[in-house]
Amino acid sequence: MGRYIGGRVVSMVITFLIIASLTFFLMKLLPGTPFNNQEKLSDAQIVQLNEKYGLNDPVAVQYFNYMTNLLTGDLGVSFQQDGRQVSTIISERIGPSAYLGFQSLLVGTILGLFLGIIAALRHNSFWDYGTMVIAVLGISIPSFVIAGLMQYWLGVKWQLLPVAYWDGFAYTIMPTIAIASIVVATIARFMRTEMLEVLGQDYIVTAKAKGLSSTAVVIRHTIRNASIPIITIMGPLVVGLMTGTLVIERIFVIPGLGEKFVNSILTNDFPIIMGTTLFFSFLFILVILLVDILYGIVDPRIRLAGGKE
Amino acid sequence: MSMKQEKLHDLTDDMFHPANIDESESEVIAGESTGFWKDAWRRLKKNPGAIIGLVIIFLVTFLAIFGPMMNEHDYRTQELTRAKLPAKVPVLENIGFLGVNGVDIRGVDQYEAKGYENEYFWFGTDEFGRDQWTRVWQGTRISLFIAAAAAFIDFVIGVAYGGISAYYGGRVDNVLQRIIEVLVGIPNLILIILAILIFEPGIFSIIVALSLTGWVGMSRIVRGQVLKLKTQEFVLASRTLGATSGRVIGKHLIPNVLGQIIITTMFTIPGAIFFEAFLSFIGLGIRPPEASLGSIINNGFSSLQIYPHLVLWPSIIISLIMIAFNLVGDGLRDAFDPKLRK
Amino acid sequence: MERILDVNDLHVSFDTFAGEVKAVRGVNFHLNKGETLAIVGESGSGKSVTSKAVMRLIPDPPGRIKQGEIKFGDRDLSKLPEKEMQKIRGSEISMIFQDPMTSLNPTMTVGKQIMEGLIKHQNMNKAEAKERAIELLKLVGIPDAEGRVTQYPHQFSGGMRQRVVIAIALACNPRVLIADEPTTALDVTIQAQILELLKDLQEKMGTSIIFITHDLGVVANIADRVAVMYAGKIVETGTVDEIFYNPQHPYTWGLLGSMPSLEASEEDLIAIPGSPPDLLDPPKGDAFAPRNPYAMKIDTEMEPPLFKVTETHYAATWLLHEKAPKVEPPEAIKKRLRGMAPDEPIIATKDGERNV
Repeated sequence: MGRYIGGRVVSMVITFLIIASLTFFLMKLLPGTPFNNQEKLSDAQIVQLNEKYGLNDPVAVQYFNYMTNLLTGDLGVSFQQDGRQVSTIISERIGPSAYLGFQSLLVGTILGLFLGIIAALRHNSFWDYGTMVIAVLGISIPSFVIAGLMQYWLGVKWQLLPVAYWDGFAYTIMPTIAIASIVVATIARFMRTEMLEVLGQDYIVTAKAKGLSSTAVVIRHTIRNASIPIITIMGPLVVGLMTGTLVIERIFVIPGLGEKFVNSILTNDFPIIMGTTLFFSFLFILVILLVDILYGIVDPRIRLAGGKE
Repeated sequence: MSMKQEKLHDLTDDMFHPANIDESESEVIAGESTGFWKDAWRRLKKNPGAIIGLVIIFLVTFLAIFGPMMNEHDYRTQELTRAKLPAKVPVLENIGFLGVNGVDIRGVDQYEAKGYENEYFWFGTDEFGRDQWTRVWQGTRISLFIAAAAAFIDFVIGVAYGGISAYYGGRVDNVLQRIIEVLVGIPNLILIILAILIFEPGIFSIIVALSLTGWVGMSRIVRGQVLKLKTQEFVLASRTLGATSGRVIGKHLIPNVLGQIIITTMFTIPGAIFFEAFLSFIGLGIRPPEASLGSIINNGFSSLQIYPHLVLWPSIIISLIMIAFNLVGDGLRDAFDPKLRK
Repeated sequence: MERILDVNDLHVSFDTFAGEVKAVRGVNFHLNKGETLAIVGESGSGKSVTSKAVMRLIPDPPGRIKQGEIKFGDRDLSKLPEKEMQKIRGSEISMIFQDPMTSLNPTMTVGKQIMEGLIKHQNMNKAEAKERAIELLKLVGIPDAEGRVTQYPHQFSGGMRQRVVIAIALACNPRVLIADEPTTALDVTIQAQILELLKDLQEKMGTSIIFITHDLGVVANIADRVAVMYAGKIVETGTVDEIFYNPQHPYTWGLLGSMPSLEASEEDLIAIPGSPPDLLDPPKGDAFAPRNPYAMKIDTEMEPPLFKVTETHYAATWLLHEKAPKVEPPEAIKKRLRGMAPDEPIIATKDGERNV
């Protein structure tokens, strides 16, 4: 297990370095400079700014500086915000995004597991069909549509919840529902399939033949085994969640990282785009790694075989 | 034991003459034998969700093609005096609760107020006074086009890549799979955003960006299916019976792989539509005056509180498209996989 | 002899989209204390369904016990509430399944899987249950039981897993053990070991065994009495000697004739023609008639009752009726019967007496 994790960490670092280099060179290919939409600047000022931020150096030098800075956790400085550190900006902005992400993931996972389990245990019943309808709707209807409908009905028309901004728990409810809908749908559907699969296994009959109560069979043998594969879809789900927060933060005007990222795209603020991209990529790779390790811990077949091939 | 012995004596002698039982009768196989496609279609027809999905796809496609021609307005004529009119539909305007009588949420008949009593804008007008009906269907057309094009490119690259990888195997397979591993290590969202930043936003660059990583899923499925089928016993069996490679490919490989390919495509399309809309939201979508469903919804959000119709209609349509493709995809998955049927 | 299980007129059906599949259609049998009853038949003959019905493990829906009684002591298992049934399962009647590769939970240690039943039925605490689990693993012949008890099923070989399954089944000293093709999925050498183990444990613990199989070789090895099932009914039942040396039903002849043996040459092997009937719509009369070369008109009209051959031997075939022509088993079978009992050439007759 230790060797397996070690190997995975090394490949994770390599992937990350590839992404960092790729991001850097792609940024260099971008049309336009960060300063050309600020009409107030004179040519001399632009030259001066380019000099200040090292944009006149040869690309190789810039790349070398960028990568060495990266290793020390220095993501450079923002072009637009008077040279503030990108890492500072990220750390200021990460709070609401992380809160929203965790809350959505938690609520969505619990609700999804619950619906999936009930649907499988009451196979072909009202609960089952209801869950399937929710699942199809949740997977199909884009989060921004759900957000818009809620904003209009719950926020404007009935005035039950604040329409936007970020100021306490009430402000998190609508964004959480919008983001969590896809999580609920995906997990409910997956859990239902897994539960039905496990319920058809021979070892469930063995468990019943031991005289265990149906509750014990369901909890100890069925749910436990059915939820193990859920871990494998958590990686893609978390990534989907990041995509979701980008849009949802914009719709609800939440001062998170996603909102900052979208703004920096609109203003060509390269260091922030690069920094945030790398930060997202890092999270993504980390989640995949954690999921793999967790899967190994929970499933003895993988744990004892020393990891997947 | 179960029958009284005396009663058995009443049976006549001729009952104990040998019977001629037609052997073939016991060997009749119930039900007609059906081909793979016919069978799949029969199962698909029994799935109400899939049929509803197919009908929606057909209707939406029809309206995306002909909708913009259905009234006299075009998608780019701006007329600020008639901006942000609510929806108003002939005949239906008389049915109050439908809310398509040109009265806005404050109860003012905007058509009267702005002097357009004799005009009908079925979905209302946007902030520049452009006909929303025409723009929405124009946008649907572009969204569907982007999705279809992305799905087609995924299909071509994915099938070729996966097929080559599985067919040649060995070192070729190894190299091709390592490339994929690096590619999927990068979050596709990031790759797509970077690609669009470089190519400048537009229909073409969105399609390219979506295809950049989109084909990976398809190639994995094709590779997996081909590898599985290569070793499966029924393929070995038909080889042993002297079937040619052509027959094995035609009779076994294509039906099995094609089913999977169609299913994957059905799920690629809603994914692409969602991503295109998402790009509009972060400012990397279609540029005006062209419009896609995503960009129309995104524009509408700025005045959602007062003019909800600008968001409502395109939102319903994009949701319907997504639901329809997912339903048909689910239906096809069940139809092509008899094992899933309970 | 004390009867501990008595099954009368058992009917089990499954509701499918195509209609009601009558998997078991009026089965009668009993199990004496300490004996082994083998239920033999082809796939789909209803032998597994019968055994699952005794355990009340038929998934409902779609399956259900339509009528009949399953007398266990003074209780009728077919009508017992689920809660009561749970107390019997695993403690008084337990079951071993066909495929040891799939009948153990892959994510739970074998120790815990054995302990579950002990904790439930014998009110043991964890430590006691673990100790007993180790004892049981030793009993079923697993070496290094102390180390093995915390391992997972995938760390065991097929034969060893089946030993674990047996340990689970025997954990609470059940009075009845139902073994549903317990050796079918195993290698031949392992099969013999498992059979020996079962016989050995039966001697030690005095358990009665219902042994479901399609393998007559296994039956000869382990059973005291045999019930032959076809199309959801028992067509012949008798002691193991009666079934092997004096079979009466043409289906039993067919089964015996299709069993390879060292004595029989290749051409002696006879296949039973055709395939079992569709139980969605069972044929009128004798269900075996379409495959029976000796079928008579009455076979297509009326179901044969069980004719008594001896006190312990019954067969459901019209050939045993007094008006039926005298029919002898095919030459190949007689030859094999002689091969099995070289000193005593036997010709079957309808009254069951042996004409030498």
